[in-house]
Amino acid sequence: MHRDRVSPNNQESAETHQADENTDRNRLRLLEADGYQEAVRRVIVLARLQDLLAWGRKNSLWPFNFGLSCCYIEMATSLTSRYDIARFGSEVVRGSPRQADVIVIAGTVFRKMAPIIKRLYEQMMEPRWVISMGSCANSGGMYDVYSVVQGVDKFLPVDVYVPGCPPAPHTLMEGLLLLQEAVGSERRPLSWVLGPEHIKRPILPARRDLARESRQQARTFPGMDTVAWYSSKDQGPR
Amino acid sequence: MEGETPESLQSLFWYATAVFVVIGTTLLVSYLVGERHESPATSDPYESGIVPTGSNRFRVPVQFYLVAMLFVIFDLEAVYVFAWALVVREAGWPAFWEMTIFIGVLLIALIYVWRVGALDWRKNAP
Amino acid sequence: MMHDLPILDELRLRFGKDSAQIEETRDDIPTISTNKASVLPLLRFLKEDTDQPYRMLFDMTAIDERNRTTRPMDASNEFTAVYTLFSFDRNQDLRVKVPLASDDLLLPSITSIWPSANWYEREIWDMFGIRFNGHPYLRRLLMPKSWEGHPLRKDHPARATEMTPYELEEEDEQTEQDLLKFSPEEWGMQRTHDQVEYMFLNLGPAHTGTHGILRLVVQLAGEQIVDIVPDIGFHHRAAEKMGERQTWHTYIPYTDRIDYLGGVMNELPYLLAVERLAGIRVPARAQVIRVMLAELFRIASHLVWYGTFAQDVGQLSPVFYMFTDRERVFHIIEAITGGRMHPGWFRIGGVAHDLPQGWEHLVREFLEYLPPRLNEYDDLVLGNRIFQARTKGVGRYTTQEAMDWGVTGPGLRATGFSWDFRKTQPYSGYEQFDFEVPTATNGDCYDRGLVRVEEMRQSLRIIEQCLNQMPEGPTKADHALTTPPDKARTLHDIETLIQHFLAVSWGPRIPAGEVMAKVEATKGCNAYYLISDGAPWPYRVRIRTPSFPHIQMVPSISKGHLLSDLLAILGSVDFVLADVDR
Repeated sequence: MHRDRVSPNNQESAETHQADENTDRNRLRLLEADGYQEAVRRVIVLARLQDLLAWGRKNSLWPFNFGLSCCYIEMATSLTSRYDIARFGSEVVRGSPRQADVIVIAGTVFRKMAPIIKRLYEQMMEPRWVISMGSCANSGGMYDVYSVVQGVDKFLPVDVYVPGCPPAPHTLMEGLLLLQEAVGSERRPLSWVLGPEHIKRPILPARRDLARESRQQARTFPGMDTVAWYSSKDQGPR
Repeated sequence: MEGETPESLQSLFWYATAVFVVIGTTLLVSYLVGERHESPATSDPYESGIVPTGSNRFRVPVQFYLVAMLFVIFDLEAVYVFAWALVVREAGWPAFWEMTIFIGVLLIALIYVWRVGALDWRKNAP
Repeated sequence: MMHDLPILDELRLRFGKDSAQIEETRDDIPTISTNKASVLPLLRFLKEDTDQPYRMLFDMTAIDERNRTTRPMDASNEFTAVYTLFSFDRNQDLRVKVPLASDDLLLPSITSIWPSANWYEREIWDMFGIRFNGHPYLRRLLMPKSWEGHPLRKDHPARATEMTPYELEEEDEQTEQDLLKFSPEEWGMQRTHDQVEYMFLNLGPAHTGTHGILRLVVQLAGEQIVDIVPDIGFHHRAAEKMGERQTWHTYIPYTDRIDYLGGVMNELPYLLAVERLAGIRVPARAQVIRVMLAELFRIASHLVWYGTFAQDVGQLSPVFYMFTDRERVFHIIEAITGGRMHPGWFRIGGVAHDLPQGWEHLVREFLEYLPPRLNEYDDLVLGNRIFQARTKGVGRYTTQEAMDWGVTGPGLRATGFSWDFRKTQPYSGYEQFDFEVPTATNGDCYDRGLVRVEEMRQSLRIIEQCLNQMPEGPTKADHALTTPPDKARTLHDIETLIQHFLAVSWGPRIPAGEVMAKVEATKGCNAYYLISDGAPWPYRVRIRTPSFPHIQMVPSISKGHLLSDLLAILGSVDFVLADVDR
């Protein structure tokens, strides 16, 4: 059932990539028409270098070993053999924010903890990304209560929100893939000396909107009366 | 002799230059490339997300130095053992016995420092 | 029945009738009300002088009585402090209450009787603003230093959305971080002593070794621990305040998240307490389903502990095996409940749904699968010489110390004292199961581990009995207060429909009274103390969690050890931060 939900998204993402390439090509055509051959060559070289860097970043997002509550257990589970986040290049869990690329806000953001989270984020080096994992970090979730900040985006810029309470490990991994997609299509400045830093990133559509159609088409739902799936030993008649 | 020395010095000079160029380029490029950001805690030390208490330059207990020094002393002896190992056949048995005595003396020294408690990491075990 | 307990006569004889008034409650726990002047001698007498003493300060809390409707109110009892003591010799609790006027919120500190009272008193000061005379350092425990007000008072806002929206400007961040900075002088600690300059190291809140956002400020002479100041409250999720605004039914998911590795195990004490108040008898099938799921979660929790403990002392591979096995547990949990970590699956009067067809097969498969794996782990972890060297003789304490500090569960049993609430005060039908209570002798890190590993095997035995003897019958009690109500009772006429609508939307009104129920949870004894006013929600929810006293004990058993031993101790104590801070 889950696979069904994922596949239309993947197709969708492939299409967006194609669209990006098309616009790039258009831009080049325009430049050629203006006759700036030299400029074009330079753009191509730089763009290719940026592509290479983005590709490198995308496939080696190292998370900071940081967890707040229940979600962290699921985040840790995603590192272990059943889920194995190493398939996506994110198994190198760093103990220091200096070496980490992505901080997963895994759990409830407490008011006593918020200044510390901010500090840790400040201590991360560029480029850095934030995944907000679980309902608490997304919005406060079921904890609309005095000691909880209603979402980590109150004080940190969030790149990907992963829903769930807690999200299952594979949901976090889908979030990671989304972040990879974003990182892969991001254009970051090559150097800070060249001028003001400007990061170009595409706006990715919400997964909910993409999945809506396939979800609306779902007609059969597994009931609670029988075990929904069987293990390897369980193929025989019952 | 005279002709030889400048030549070897020259190669040493080129070698040193190459080292400096490589290191310098690496430092320069890594300084220039990439993005920077500056916020209040960026250059503070990381200590589990908390502002550290006290300075990091303080007198650490003597055991740390003791262990470090003993390590260096015993480690340096390995240099002689290596040098001897290269010429073990040429040096023959006398050298072997000398080396045995040398290692024996070291062993006694090690037993001594062990016995006097210089290798004990903590003062009074609970 | 309760009134003729000998201890009550003894107290009345000794302290006078007025200082030991008997109160009515809905549980079997004898409850006496005393006054401020006699509370200290009375508690001291109960711990030290009586035969079969009350050795453990089981719990200590307070109640803001100002909004209560079912109780005679005057200015003298606007707040109540509640001490719950436990006697292992009598196998009995005793509740001592002290009424307080809101203009005179002062009590004598009992830290001289029980060391564990330290944090409980700080918590009460933090949450209710009741001061304790003679407390060594009465300051906030859970809330940040900059907090204004006392959250569990009835006039403190509950929702974040009722308060000013949270903002973190640069200056706020700076002030908060400066407030968090540790100052040794504040705690009466020296920076240098006898030519040794101490190092103050923050271990946590963002540290892997602390298994969550726990902060331990370690005073180090070289690598040796001189003292530790734990700082908790980073994980304070206000579960108790939450209970005062959620209905009886909608509070169930919040209990799952207290000991977040224990899952449905947390729902059990809460529901036992609610059902006791409501007078619901849970049908046998529901009871056995509850036991089976709770034991599965005990295994899941212990597996997480096993792997991370091995990792804490340097073994990197076991954790991968244990987490894979944990997925097998979740395979069953997911098939039965649809959830993983927090199924929220027990209901008032039963469980949410009957077991699905084919569950036996999944459980049987797991029962066959795990024992050989556990044997393998014995060789891999417990038999490993380095593991033994790191854990044997480290973090030892005696049975007496354990009782003084309020330690329950595997930590208590590892000292050689066989005490399991499933055996001594059976609940949910545990008396029908055949299992043993594993103990060890030394009370060190290794023994705590040994006990937990054996507990997993015993849990498997219990699950096997559940599997073989699962009774037939309903999974929900036939009672008016069962929530959600049985569908068959509805849709007859408009009256039954309205009843059903109210029971589903508001939930039941649980009869007034107070009650405590405890279970042997994964980490130790978990208890819910509920006070009902007859409203659709509790008047007060008090959660006594095992990890809170366990963490409080860590400094006393770590002194003199090396810093690396501290991580072994933390791993062996097995705590969950949500269980500490709630």
